[in-house]
Amino acid sequence: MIKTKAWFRLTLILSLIMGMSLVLAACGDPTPTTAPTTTTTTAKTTTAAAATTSSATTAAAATTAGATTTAASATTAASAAPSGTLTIALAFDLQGLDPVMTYSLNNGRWQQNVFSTLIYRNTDLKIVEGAGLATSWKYVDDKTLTMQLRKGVKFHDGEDFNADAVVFTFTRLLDPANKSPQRFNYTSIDHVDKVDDYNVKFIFKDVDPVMIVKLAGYGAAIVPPKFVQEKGNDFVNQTNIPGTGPFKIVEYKKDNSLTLEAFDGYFGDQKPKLKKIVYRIIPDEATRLAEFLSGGVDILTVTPSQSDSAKAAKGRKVQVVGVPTVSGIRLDTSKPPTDNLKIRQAIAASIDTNTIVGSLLNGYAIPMAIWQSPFSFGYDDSLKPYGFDLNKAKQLVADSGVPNPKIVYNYIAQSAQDKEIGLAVKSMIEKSGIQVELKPKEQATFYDDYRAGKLDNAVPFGWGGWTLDADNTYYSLYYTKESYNPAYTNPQVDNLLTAQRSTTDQTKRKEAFTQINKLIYADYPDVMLYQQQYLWGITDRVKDFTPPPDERLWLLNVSVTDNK
Amino acid sequence: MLRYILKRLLNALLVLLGLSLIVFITLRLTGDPVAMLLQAGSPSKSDIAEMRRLLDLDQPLPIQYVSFVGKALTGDFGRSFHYSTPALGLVLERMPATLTLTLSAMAVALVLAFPLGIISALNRGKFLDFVSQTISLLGVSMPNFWFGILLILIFGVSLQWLPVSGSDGPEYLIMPSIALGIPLMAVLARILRSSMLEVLNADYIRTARSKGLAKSTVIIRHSVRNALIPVVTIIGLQFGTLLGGAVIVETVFSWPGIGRLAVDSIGSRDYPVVQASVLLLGAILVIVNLIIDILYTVIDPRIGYK
Repeated sequence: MIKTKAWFRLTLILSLIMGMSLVLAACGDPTPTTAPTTTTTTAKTTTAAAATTSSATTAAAATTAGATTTAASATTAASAAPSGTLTIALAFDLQGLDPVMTYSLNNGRWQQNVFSTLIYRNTDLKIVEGAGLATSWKYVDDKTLTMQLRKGVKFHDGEDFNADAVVFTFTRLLDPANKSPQRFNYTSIDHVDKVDDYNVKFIFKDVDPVMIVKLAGYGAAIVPPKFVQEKGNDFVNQTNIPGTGPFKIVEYKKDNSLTLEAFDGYFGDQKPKLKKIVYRIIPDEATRLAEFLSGGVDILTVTPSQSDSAKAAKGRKVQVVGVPTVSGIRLDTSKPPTDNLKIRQAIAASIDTNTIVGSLLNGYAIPMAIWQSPFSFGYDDSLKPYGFDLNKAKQLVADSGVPNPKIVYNYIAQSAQDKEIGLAVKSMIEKSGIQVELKPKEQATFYDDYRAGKLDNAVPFGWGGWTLDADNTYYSLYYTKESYNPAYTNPQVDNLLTAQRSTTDQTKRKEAFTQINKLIYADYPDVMLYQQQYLWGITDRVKDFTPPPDERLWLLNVSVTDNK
Repeated sequence: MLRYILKRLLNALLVLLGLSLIVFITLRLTGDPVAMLLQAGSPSKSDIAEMRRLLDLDQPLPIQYVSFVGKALTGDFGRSFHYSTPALGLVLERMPATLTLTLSAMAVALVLAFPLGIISALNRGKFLDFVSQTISLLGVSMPNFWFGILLILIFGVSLQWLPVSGSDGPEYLIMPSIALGIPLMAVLARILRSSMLEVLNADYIRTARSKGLAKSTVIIRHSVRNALIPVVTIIGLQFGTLLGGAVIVETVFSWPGIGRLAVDSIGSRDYPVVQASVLLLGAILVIVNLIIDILYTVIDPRIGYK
């Protein structure tokens, strides 16, 4: 008979084997641990808008519409009744339905299907004149903008869209009592006058060359005056609010889902094809992938490490799209030794950005030369990313006159990806002769410390600039002592930034940006820049869905093959 | 007994006051909530200052604290910075979901721990004992987020027997309760086993058996009941851990509870909601421990309070 002790040992061994196989099974599966999603922690991306047209006086240079515009096009509307349900995953709760209370990028996934704006920007990020609620507009002078409004548009609750709605929307947005996080994007507007039922006039306090673009943004979504006044701000933010978009809100369950339904009174020529859209709020990225693989979700964004599982699954595909967010490492030009230009140049030459992108980002990024993506107004493709040249780097260190240079590199402690990149960058820079100390910092205080200048020589950073106009990024990152610029200062850049802000002449602004780009490029305040790419997981039942570069989903044209 | 309860409630208020001070100070050390709110744009320094003023964050800290406590005593925890609705309302809305999950997890733990612990104690040294001890060891060693994801992969994705995440029906509760309950089951089974072993060796049990009582009577009526005191103590202490674990499980399974709300609010520095969540959870914990203490008097008539 086997003795007890032997049984014990046998059981222990079997349990250990079982335990190890469970561990190995979990490790082998590429679902990551519950790390915070990277969309809002490292990237300071915000709500998105469009590239400006080349002339600011009239929107004459209307660019080609994408397949999804609702403009006065010749295509006739689909006559089939809307059918089928599409399910989309959201990583964060909406936190509110009211456009003026919006502040997160997440909202781009649903808002423009419910609300319309005066100016419409299509999925190619181009403004399409006349496709929004304003059929035309004109700058009478730098501080006066007149707009002609579309007729025959109804809100989801039956109210008419007209000048009263526009005046109400902007008065409410600009009223400090409403504490709108969007207000600050529109403070150049003094007030809006009603000229007649279908004509309005914007009067500006300051010249704002980016305003046309901003009017395509979330804060400027037009809301129904009667409904909002009757129901009050709380109801409108937490329960329901009508818009003029192709889909209306059916139900919002906090931390659970948002359900939309096709609106048959939509003003566009193209009518919605889907009957229902459900946004499911799933905060954990492993769970989101599991839902995608089990059919609980049709569309979601996946991380580079999840892309293989998503691609390998039957009936599913992954599409890659470049986004406006650019990431990189900011060097502090006021702290030694990075206050020395040659040291900064050496750092730039010692980092092999292509390798970092290839091995740590699975190739899902494109090296950049400046802190703007190709989508932006102000982008300059004549500048090339700083090249990788180790010998040049070593020479620069020797020439710098700094004996035994050492830098401190901060990164967000909770980000596994930031840590990996930090380790790779450290080993690269050290080959040039500069010592690197890695110091992780707490996520919650990282950006506050950065803005206060409390971080060290090298800091990884990301910025999107939702207006897709270099003004947004450059002002905050390069103007002396501005919100995200604790150290860099160049009086010439400051003057050029001020100059481009005070004119609506896009040609002059483009010239200013060309010079600004050259000056900044020569100063080396930032290195290892790359444009991020997002990966969208899509099930095969979804038709005509184009992943947008700015995360704003436009679902008018989308349908599902099984009509379920 | 009534005096005892009143004394305990007064004590609870002091505990919550201390908790409010800790959470108030810690939150304000984590950074600026206004910057989070204004990330949708490029706010200037004056924009940021104005938003702080609108949210009453520009007052000196002692004044902010006194104002917060004063209002909290009337049930006003302020308005959420991000949802712009009353913070307490938000938290109370989520409470049923968290309590459902926590109590279901507790039920899973108890239903499994009792047979496991009792069988283990009755078969001490034998194969069954070692099997159940191993199960306990596994249960206590597995991180619940990992276990949760494993359950999702097996039952949600591969077998598709259960929904992966969400809260739209009772079947959605199964996996989260198991993920949250198993670690507690492991702890309770082990405590019950030790406690039972102690009791089984007592004189009165020997007396009961020598009287000729049925084995089941000896076990259930005499042994288990006496073994319960340490187990009930542990349940009370572990309730806090359970609530903490609920935070992770709620995130993994997209369960709309307070834990998830608290974590999201900490990340977005929504001060009113974090304060309301922490204080409400603290209050629940205090009440649960008070109930446990009163339960002792039921289990063991020798215990009484003045």
